[in-house]
Amino acid sequence: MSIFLSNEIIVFLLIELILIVLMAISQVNIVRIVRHWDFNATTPLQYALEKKNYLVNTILYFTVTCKVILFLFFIQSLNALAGIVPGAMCSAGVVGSNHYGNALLLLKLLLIFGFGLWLIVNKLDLASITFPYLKRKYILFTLLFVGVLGEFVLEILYFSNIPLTVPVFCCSVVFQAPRLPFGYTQTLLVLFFYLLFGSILLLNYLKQTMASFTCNLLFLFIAYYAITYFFGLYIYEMPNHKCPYCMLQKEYYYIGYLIWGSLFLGIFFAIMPFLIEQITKKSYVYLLKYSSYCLMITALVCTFYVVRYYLMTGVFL
Amino acid sequence: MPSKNFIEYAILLLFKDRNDHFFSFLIFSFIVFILSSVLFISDSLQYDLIQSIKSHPQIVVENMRAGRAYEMHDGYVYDIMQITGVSNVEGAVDGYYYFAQKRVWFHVIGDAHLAKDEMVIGQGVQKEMAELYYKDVFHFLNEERMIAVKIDKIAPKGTNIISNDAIYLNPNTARAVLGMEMDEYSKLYVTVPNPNEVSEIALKIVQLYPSVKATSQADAIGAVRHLYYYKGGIFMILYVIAMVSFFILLKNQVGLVYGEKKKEIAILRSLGFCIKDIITLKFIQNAVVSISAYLLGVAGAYIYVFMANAPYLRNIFLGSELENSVSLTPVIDLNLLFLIFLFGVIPFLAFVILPAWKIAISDMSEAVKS
Amino acid sequence: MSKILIQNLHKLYNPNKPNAFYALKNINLIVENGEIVILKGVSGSGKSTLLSLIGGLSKPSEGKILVNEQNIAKLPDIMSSAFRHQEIGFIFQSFNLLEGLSVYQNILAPLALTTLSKEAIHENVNRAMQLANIEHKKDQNVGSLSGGERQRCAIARAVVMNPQIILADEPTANLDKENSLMFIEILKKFKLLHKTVIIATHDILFDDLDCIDRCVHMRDGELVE
Repeated sequence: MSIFLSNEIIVFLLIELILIVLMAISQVNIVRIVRHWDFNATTPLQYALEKKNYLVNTILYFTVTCKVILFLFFIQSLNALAGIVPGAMCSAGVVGSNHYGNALLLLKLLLIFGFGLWLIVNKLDLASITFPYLKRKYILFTLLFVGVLGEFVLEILYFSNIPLTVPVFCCSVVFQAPRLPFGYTQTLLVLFFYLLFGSILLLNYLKQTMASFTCNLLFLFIAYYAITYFFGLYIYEMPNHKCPYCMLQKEYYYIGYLIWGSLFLGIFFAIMPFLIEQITKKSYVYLLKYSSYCLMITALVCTFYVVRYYLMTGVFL
Repeated sequence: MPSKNFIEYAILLLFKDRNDHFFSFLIFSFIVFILSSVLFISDSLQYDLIQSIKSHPQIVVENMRAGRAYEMHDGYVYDIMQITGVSNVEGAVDGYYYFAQKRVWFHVIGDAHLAKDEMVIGQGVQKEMAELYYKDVFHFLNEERMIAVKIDKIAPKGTNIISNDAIYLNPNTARAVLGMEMDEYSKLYVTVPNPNEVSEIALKIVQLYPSVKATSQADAIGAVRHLYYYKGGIFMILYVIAMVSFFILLKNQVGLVYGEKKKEIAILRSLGFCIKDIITLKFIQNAVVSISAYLLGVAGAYIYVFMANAPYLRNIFLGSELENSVSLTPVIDLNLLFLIFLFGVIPFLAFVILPAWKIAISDMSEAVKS
Repeated sequence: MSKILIQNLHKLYNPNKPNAFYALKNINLIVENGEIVILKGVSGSGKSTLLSLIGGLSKPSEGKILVNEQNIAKLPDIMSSAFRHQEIGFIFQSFNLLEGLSVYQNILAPLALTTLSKEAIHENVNRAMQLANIEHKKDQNVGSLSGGERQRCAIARAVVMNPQIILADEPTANLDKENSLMFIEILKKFKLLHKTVIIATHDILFDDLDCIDRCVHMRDGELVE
């Protein structure tokens, strides 16, 4: 009995493979484009390269859409797999069943951010007449392609190392204290969370892209720990249920999607302006306000659960 | 995002050319139909089995000797009752009777609600018996004697797959038929009120009697899931191969059709549609074709499986020697529908990208002159 | 207002091949706003190629085509298509209608790229049909129209976006005399609307028309005096 016989895994890997083939086709075309590109030329070759540009664009738009869908599908499949992986009661057990799981999730997230960056740079490139960012855009694409190949290898490694006979740890073991880095306590963590959140709102308002970029990268990790080790407890209403995945389930009204979704979107919108400025050397701050909106949703929802619990019971966990 | 006007016009053009898309629509519907049917059957059977497991007590204890099933006596019941956390232990009589004349096995289950000479049989059993004219009474033959039992009731059609080849008898009658002693049991059902303690208690039972097998509900459900994953998985892999071939065919077909449509695309380009617009147009059209084919395929599968009871296809999954006349419980899982959608629609659209691009970049000026 | 300035335009087919040839050589031309210009020349003189280049249907090998001081020859596809959509109306010799659709649906095509409301779209299409005098056939399938009616449908489609420049390639080649004269009436309406019109034709009907501002002759891909 192999994990590769699970319906979800088969479909998942099939789509990934199709996307890799499409990206490989793009990559081959990109090499040609970058080698021979000369916008000022009026040769048939140059015009053909401009047309190939559109093929790469189309493939990328399609890939990004599929990658986002697949990411959500991946999370759901992990939960389905929990049924056949002994000892796993939700995705946490399946993700933590070998040391590739968390690395894979992080890589997937970073790749989606990378694709988002590519889409924005591409939009700017197409909007100006002379395709000024073409070569930089395609270097970024090549990096993303390498990332996608790496992701596929990591997926195969991850799936083939999921144990089907030996019980894995479930979230109550995986996330038990003390696992907070740098020895932080819960209070310090929450304080840091709100401080960073406030700083980010201020920096976004002041349009300080580099500072916002740095703070948001830090916030990604602080928020992950804060949600898993503090806010999650109030969602599950249990002092020891520390799990980032259980809140994606029906029992908790799928609130996890709103929390993690708004968090990742907010961080994405905040780190993009700085990166785009590095690539295009032009200011691009209008996304910062969306970052503020999204992170406000995250903070509000998390705070809501704490306040609600306190109002219901009169104590904190 | 394309505007509403654009999407409407794309669909208008699609209906104008509906004959060109008919081939892909039909084949794709059929593919989705087959896949959905198989997955619906598989899911429905899984669901039924799991429901019946859930209706049983938390732990099922069976004894093994030399690798074969062996009876347990009252002493087992007493010992297991002493384990903390166990609220009840019920012995059950359960075994297989070989009906030699027809060369089939009947599943004999003891049911304490039946009187000594009452018997309830499943529909499949009734059919086998009737063929040898056992209509009102059946004679069980074992080493010592013949036991005659009246055929009372037939288990109604539509009960789950367990009952089809089953005979329900009073436990003592069942013991007699199976050649067991009066204080012997084939299985013990252990009730454990606290679900968190189930696996611990199963371990303790095995510690008490090293030769027994104590299966918890979770184990049993896991075993069913394993079985269905295995069967489903093999099918899916074959399906992937078939599908990839279809899509290559589709790509060629689409490319051919588009070749004939060069002039039309050139006209649109001359009106101001850019390459991106043409690709988007083709995409919208193919999305409409694939999604509607998907819906048709799934709806067709639902009717085929849950209303017509899936003739021909269900034999892949139901392997009993007795003819099965079970009806499948309608079970629709949204995750499953999404899985089928991903499996079908996304590769369909992926294979359309290259032909769509090729036609979008074709030379306008020559095409509009012809 | 669109002034068309063509500088040093060349179009070479099959470059670096033994059968390479110049369809256009060193074209320099200015067309002022509101002018109606006839391009005259025999088949193969390069009239259609020149129209294609001005309309952005193909790209030149060398030279500039400035419309309102913007060089449309080097525009990326998205921008050149947008330019074509807003500023240019094409009328082809073979009409180039979308078979299987009605007159209304054919005229609707350019408006599919806009975000106008249904009412505004309806208004624009009606206005175009009135100008081309094809309103009475609006729901008829184009396959059942006569040659003159098809041409008028094509004209309506060309003007529905109210473009400033109309390019017509042999517009009367497939029409009888009566319909050709109807085309000329529509041409006069273009003049009144101050549209810039370039017509490639060798139909003698266009000789000595009052509404024509200028006649330019071409031979072997070059302009001749």
